[in-house]
Amino acid sequence: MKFLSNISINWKLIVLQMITFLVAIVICVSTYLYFDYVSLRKNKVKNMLVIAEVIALNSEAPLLFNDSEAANSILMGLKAETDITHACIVDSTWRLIGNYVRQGENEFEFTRTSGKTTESEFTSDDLFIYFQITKDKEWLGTLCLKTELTEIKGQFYSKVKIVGLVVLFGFFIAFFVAAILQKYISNPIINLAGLMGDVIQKMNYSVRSKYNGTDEIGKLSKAFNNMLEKIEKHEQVLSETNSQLEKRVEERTAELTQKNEKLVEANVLVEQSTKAKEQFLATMSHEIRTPLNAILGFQKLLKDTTLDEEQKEYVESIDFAGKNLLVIINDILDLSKIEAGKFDFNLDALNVRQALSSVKELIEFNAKEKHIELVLNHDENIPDTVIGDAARFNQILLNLVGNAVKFTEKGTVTISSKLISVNAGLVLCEFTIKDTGIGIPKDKLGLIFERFTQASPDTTRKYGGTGLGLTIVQQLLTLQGGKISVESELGKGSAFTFYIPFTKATNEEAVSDNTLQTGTAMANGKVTPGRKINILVAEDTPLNQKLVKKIIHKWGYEMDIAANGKEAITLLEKNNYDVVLMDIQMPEMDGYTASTIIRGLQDERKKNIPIIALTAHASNEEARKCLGLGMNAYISKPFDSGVLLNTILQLVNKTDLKETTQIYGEITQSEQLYDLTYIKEHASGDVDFLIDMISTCLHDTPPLLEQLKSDINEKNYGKIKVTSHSMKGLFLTLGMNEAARLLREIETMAQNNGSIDVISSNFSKIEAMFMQAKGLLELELKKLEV
Amino acid sequence: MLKKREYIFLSLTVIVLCSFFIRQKTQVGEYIAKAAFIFNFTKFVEWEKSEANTSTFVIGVIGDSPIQQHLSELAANKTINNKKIEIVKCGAKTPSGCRCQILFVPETVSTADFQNFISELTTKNVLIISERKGFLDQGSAINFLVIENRIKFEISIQSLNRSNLKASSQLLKLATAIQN
Repeated sequence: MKFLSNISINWKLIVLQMITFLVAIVICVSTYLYFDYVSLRKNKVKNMLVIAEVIALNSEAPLLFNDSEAANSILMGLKAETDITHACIVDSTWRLIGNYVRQGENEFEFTRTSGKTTESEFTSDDLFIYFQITKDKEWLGTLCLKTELTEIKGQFYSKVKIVGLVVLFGFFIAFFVAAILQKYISNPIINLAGLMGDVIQKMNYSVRSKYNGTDEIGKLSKAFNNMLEKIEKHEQVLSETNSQLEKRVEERTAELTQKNEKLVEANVLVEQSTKAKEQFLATMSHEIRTPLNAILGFQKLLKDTTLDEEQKEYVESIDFAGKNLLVIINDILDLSKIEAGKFDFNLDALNVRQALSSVKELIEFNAKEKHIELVLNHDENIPDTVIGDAARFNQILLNLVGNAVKFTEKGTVTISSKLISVNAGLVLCEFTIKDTGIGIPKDKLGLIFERFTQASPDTTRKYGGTGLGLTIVQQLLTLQGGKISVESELGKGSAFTFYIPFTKATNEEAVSDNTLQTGTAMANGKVTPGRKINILVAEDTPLNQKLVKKIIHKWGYEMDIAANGKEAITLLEKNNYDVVLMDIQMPEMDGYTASTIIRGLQDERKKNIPIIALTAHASNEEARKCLGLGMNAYISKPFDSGVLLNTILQLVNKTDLKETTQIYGEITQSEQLYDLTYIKEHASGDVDFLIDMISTCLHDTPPLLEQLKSDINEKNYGKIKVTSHSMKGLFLTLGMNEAARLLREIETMAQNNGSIDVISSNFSKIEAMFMQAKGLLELELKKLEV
Repeated sequence: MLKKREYIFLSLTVIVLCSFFIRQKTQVGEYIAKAAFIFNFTKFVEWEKSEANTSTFVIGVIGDSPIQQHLSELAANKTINNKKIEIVKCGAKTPSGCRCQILFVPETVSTADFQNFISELTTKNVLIISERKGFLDQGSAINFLVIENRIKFEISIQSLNRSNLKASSQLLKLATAIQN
């Protein structure tokens, strides 16, 4: 019955009806045929009995008189009955009296040899009749007949044939009737199913079944309609809810956008105010540093003159106060930067051992003056080279060790380091600065890291300092993922312990650190103080002009002074200088503009002259801006004359080496040609990605160039626009901003049907740029692939 | 074991002896069969109705004949038309005085004697059965014959009609000859 569940309802109904029909008809026909056959046999027996009776009547005398001939001749009368194959007459002792065999038949012996009753007996093919012959109630003998059943069988079979034909005919008629009648049941169901299919496929819930009968299908379609109605309502409600939701989302989005805009505005305001604050601080520190610079400079010059004891004491007081003021200014600047979140860490190779010993050396002078022993216990397990910000590390150490020495009258200051752990590329170190100084009261321990807080109000008076040092140290450590803690006992000393996680250096970095050191040593070796150096100083403040002049003359070098940028350029154009010291804030033309102009000069030598920025704007940003404009070094005022000399010497020596200049020039050029910062940011360390990006761009550009060339030849503006647009993307990826700009121009011109000559000249430039960049980028690729 | 010649001789002897015995037996059995025949004839012959009123069925036998004994034996166990059977002996000279339904005329009765009483008898409702060749022509209704050692009979319809008797066609069919 499984196949029934997979065929259509039409066929199902037809098949069911046909099966029913067949079952009924087979039962009817077989019953009819059975009874017909039975009656056929009955009739046959009846006929045979009639014949037997006649024969028997005629056989009485032959039997009584035992006359075989007569008996035989009577039996010969059976000839007419062609069915009868054999017959015989036996007497009461079953002795054979007469015998008959149909012509052509074999002899046959009746098996029955006793019995006095009339009987009929069927075998599969024959009918046997045993008829009793009596006379005056006296049993005389038996007449035996054997009849073939071919006749009734033939009749039966022909009936079967006719009935079969009738059944077959009836079957076809029934089939057609069933095929017509099933539609009354199946059509509504098929329609309903089709409707459901429509509903499912088209999601159309507005259709309805049109069947109105009250039967089960009617109920079904009614229920289906009800369901559809409900779904439709639900759908409506849903879509309404949806649209309401959408509306609400839109409203919310609008609100959010508004709020966002307000936030952006607020943020801009905050940024502006922060900038203003920074600007204020930078200006303030500049304004303070400039005179302070002069004060300290002249104090140094004054110290070198012949002074009496009293004067010397005064000069030293000036030195102490001035240096303290400088520290305060620097601290305030640092703190304000930290708080503004603008503090950058310059992560590079850092030699922990060297840092520790140089701090020790630096402080050792002060310690010796106070007769304090300074001890360094370095843990040799700490790797020599790690990655960290060396300057900040030094700052932290100097601050803490300086404090320790400052607050210790006698005894020892111990600097010790310890390796805590090395894992996951991190080197965690612990540093302890322990002193035998005045100590900190327990109730003040929690406060010493607060800004402008010291253990006691008279600390400043007695020891100087701003109360900012520890705050800065703590902030610097926190920003680097470190931590500081303090243990102290009043009168016995304090111990500051800080942890700092450095990044583990790879072998390469460790090596590069070494080469750097060697390089520096070599550069130092090349310092030739005997050589005459001509310096151009651009400085507007007369005080500072004098100071610089004094220092340079002290070194024995030549110098000219320009009061502003304009003067500096004029002087530079007139004379030959080895180096320019450029103040940034100047009247008429500031240092930025002047440097830019110098870098744009025709004269190859003057164009590449080393420029050292001298500025009171002490910030990383400032430094970056200066270097970005093509200046070579940056020194914040007030400067250390030693640092200045070293910088000058290094730069002058570099310019002397022709090769270096060339490399320098090439780099500048390549920087203009392309800038890989953008994709490097995206690659975030994935070298394969970087290689892939660059090589894809290099590979994809030449065909586009060819295309653009032919487009230009054809003066097909539409095509030019499309091609230049797709090429622009590639150039922007490589940071070839100039080339991209030229392409944009082409694009715009193509849109406005501009001059084809301009376009083609732009194209030649772009082509040249790309060829140049391609060579350099291929070198970069080789480096990356190694 | 017997030799072949001896075996043949012996079997021949047996055959000869048997045939003799059978013949003998046929002579003895002849009257048994004839007696049975006579009884069977009654089944195919109809007598007048007046005869039906009699209480017994009488079979008369002229003179002495071995058949009488056999008839008596049969009569003891049988009835004819639900009547008792009586066997009587009739004189050869005056058989007409013998009141019976069947009169058997043995071969011992001479032709002359038969001719003497037959004319008297033929008008009576009596079935006359003889066993001598030519008697049918003399007025007998049924005459036994022995053909190839088998007992056969011939019938004279004329005689039957004269004696007012009706014979069944079945019986007529069995007769070797029928005289009208």
